[in-house]
Amino acid sequence: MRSAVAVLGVAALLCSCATSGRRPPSARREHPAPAVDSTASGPDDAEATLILLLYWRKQADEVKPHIADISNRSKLFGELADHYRSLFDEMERVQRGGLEMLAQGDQDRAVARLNALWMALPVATLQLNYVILASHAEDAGMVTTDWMAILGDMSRRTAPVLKAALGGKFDRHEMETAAHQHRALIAELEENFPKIQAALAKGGRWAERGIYVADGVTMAIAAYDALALLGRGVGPRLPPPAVRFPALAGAGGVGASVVVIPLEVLESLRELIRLGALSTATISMGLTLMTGKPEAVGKQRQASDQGASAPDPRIDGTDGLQHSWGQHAHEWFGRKVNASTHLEAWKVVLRRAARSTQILEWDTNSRPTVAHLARIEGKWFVVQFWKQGDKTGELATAFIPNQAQLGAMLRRLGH
Amino acid sequence: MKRTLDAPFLEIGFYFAAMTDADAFATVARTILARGSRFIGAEGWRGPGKRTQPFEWTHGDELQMPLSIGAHQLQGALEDPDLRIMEISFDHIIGISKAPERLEYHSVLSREASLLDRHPVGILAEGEPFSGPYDPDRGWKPGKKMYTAFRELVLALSPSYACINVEAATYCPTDLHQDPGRFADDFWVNAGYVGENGLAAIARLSEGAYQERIGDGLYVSTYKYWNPAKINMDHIKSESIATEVGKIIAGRRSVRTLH
Repeated sequence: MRSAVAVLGVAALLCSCATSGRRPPSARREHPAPAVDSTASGPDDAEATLILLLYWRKQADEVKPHIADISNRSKLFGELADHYRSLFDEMERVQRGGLEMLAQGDQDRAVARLNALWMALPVATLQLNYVILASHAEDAGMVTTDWMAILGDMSRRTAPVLKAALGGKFDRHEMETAAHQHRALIAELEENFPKIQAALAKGGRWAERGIYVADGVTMAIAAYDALALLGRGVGPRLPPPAVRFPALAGAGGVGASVVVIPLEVLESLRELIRLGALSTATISMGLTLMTGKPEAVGKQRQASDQGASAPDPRIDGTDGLQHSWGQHAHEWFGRKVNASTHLEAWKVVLRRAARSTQILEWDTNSRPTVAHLARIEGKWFVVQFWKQGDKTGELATAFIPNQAQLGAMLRRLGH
Repeated sequence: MKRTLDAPFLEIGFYFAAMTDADAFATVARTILARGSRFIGAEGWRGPGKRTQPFEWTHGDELQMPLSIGAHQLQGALEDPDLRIMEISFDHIIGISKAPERLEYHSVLSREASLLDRHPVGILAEGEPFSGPYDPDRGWKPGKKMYTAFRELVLALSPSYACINVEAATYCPTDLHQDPGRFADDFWVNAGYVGENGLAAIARLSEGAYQERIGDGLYVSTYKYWNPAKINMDHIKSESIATEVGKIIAGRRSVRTLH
């Protein structure tokens, strides 16, 4: 049997830029952003570009290790995994190139690469999610032509965007055009991913692994969206705002979470946007992959609870919810409580905890889970989601951890 | 001794196809007492005919209340037609907890099952040694105690089947019919319930797992702490076995008249 790449013939489609030999981009062929006023590119602008290039790398480093989650048990996905390693290598080369250009004082070309990188990373992550899912579906017996069709559709929708971003010219106009043309197609892809994931897991028992790829890139997107906060008084003397962002396609157990965006990142974004150096059309590609609009998290308790009132498919309707309600809700509330009066409040606690970014690998009688450790209303609380098996991504259980468990969890989190 | 168990919970569940819920609960309670456990307290519902009143589903809204009964009154309380004992605390049952261990009805029961099926009863203890990857040696000693207690209880009770879980319930056949994947990875099944052929099929399905004939049934274990051979099976494989056994159990479901 031929490899996935060969069967699909999609190596070039997924992103011709990474695996095809090509010459280093020529500076003369680039079309720097016309809106950039070069005379305004002082040290502050260079610093802003530097911060964002480094921040991009931090996010990419969180996604890249998940290439190893592509299963090659079928021997069909080895080349595809190699392809993604090449793609990330290529993006890292672009990032290094941007840093070098910045060091040489070539702000325009550095910013062109920054635009490309921010456009490419969310799309590459979405592709990776699909490929990981397909590889495990193949292992579990899904008909090969079925996942081939899914991947084929995915590559058709996403490849042009990656090509525009990393195809070599770093042409702002080309990137913006690709973003406009393919945004709707990619949004559909994002919408379909959880459905496909759910269908595979529940219908055919194909999906054996949860996919938790998108943490880093989600944070990056939230950072960009945080631009909306700039008009609300973010400044050097103010603390960095927390941003709650909705689930990203393929985020699996991550779901909605709260992150704090470094202040220097926000300042850098503001500066480059003000100059017109960063393209809002290209950076908003990442936002296309979100199911809703990120929002600032105020200090008001009410706002936090409001966000947790929406149903979470990982929690609502699961055996884990019933079990945790029956066994552990009274521990939280301090007394036996009625479902009619407290079940919804219990769900809110679970959803809030599920947003915690304190995430660690755990298990329950050797069955792997992904645990989110949270501090809610002054109490530690942990929610666990199944990491393998038919119920991947679903709530396993939730409770107040005892001291031994809490200590072990905090140690694993590096505290 | 502190008052309440710390989560996560070890949960040993028993299902009796041929016994009313209240009788099954009383039988397990008496067996626990006969093993030397000391009664601490109980909770339940009082009211006319409560003992055999059908359960609502899991999210039923009736709160159980502490019962003012002493140890010498327990036997009578277990037979009282106007009292449903929902939970009994003992000083120990398995003996691995820092708080009283409990006998109770399992927390999960679908609406359909509440109408058509029996409600499994469960023993709860602290399951911290079996949760989380740290300090793996901490599971051996409580695991051995669990195995010993489970073995004795199964021999004494001879239920239709019994399951061992951490942070998961034992499901009745009606609920297993909805999702056989809910069945436990570690279990005991009575030959009298599934037939010798059924038991032989379970033995074949469970190849590679620890198997032991205990009383009238077969014990299958895939978790190293819970079997003397320290066999630990890959989770994907053990879940696959459990699902197939769950289908066999689900096939035994039938519509019954409760009480």
